[in-house]
Amino acid sequence: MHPVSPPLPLPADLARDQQRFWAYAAAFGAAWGSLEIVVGSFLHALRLPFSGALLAAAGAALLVAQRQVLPVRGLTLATGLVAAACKSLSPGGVILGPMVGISAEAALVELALLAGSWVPSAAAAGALAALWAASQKVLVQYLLYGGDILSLYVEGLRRASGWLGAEQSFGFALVAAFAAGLALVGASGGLLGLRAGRECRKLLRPGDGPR
Amino acid sequence: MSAPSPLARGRRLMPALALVCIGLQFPGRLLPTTGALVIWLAALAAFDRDTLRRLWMPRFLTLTVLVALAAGMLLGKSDARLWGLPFSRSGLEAGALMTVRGLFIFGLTSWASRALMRDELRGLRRLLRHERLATAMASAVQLIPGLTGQLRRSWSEQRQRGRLSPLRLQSALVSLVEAAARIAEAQLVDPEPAIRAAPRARRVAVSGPQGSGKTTTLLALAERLRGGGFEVGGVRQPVRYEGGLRAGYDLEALSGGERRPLARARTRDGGRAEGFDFDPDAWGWAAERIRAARRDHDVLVLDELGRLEARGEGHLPALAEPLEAERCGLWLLGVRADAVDRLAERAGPFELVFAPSDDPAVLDGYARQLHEVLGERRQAA
Repeated sequence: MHPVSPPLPLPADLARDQQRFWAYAAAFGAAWGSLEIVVGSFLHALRLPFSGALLAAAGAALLVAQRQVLPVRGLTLATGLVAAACKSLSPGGVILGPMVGISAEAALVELALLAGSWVPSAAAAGALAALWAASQKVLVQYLLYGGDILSLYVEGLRRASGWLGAEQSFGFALVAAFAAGLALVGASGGLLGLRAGRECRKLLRPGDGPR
Repeated sequence: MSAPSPLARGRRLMPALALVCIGLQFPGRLLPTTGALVIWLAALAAFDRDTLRRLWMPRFLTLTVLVALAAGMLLGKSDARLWGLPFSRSGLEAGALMTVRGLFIFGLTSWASRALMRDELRGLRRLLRHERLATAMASAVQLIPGLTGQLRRSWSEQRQRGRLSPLRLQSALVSLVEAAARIAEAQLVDPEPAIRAAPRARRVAVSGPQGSGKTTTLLALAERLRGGGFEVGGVRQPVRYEGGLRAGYDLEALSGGERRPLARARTRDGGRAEGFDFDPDAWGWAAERIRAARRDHDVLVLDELGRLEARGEGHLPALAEPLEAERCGLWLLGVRADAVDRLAERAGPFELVFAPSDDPAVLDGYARQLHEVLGERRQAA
């Protein structure tokens, strides 16, 4: 005997809402994959540093736009899970890193959009996604090497400031400024997604859009 | 069935070995962490050479060694010299620990990501598997090539018009979002016209609190309908008593009389029930009989529907499932009083709601109304 019956297929009227939810998760998960391929190749060709944060901003733009078209809680996270699951089809190698990265980005955007689909939350969504992309490497190193890696970074910043003849806090100020710059880029992506989503909502005829 | 090979047996032990090695390196001391790394590499060499080969990543290994050297130079007080450069012994030890731990964690995650694709973590995959997610993923994989092509074209068009500006980026994004939304809407399944056009069975509820006589009323009405020449099927939910106490519920098919357990009470030492454990297979058993009654009988009797069904679970999916051909013209449902409104929203409005009664005159009156409903249904069909 097991506790409580497991959920079975939903009634027809509710199933349509669920169908729409997962159809959007699938289509936009695929769109995110396409964005990574096309924009990723473009940024790689330009050899821009921290292109991961720019890609994250583009992904956040897509997710924010999706939320304008179908404003359903949980859709952003589901889209991220679909996109991450698609990554699992990559042949060989370590795949957990990108899968975790995509899922985490989606979770952060979902968190930001819980406050509603308006300018501050769209900006916050983009900023969080860009900051996550930049900090994921550090977090992975923390998992790999332990807490001493953070001590190493802090000491490295202090020493570098000393060698440059600046105050010890100069390095940290530089890091803070860099983080602010990334957040700004991410926020711009979020706002771009907000505008694109609202324009898209007007383009889709009422019959095509969600009930 | 042949016995598993030593290699297969060894692979099955890897998850447990991984936990042991994680435990060894957890305190963060150099010797146990080194031991964990050696054991893990030995296990990979014995049972998973593919993963061991993939650990040869020169960039990562170089970075790890550089991290160790940087730790030696930057962490702790300089009390030694290496290649003419000031180093700290404690820093070097910390660097060595970071190196060993980094190699171990890297080896562990490399094995885990490949094992997820194989059978070793079957239980975890089952736990993570979500049917709708799997379907959505399969759909997404098919959509990626088409959407990638569309985005490339849109991107090229915008670049040909001049330098990429925010407006042009927005246009490319709008194009992608619109395409994805239209694809999503096109994927929605439309029910078969025949099912939509089929006249729905009329719904009649016998509603009351627990123990008010809903089942007695339902069975009495079923007998009267059988007497009127209608075929009655469905499922009822008799209470099972043990030692004078309510021990659980069974399921009983109205045509055929088959019976099986549905739920058993979870009891405290004093014998008081504090909830029920349901047998998940019982729902499938009931669903088959509900479907059969809808297909092959004039009347479906179902007792009882309550908060579980009001949440969309229990018997409700079997009622909501569209059938290609439904002979049944009347659903006679026993419904708990606290669930009747929510069920009306989910299963459709009730034509009539009867209060439980054991008065023969009242039951005859109910039966007359049901005959009228069935007569109207036959005319509509």
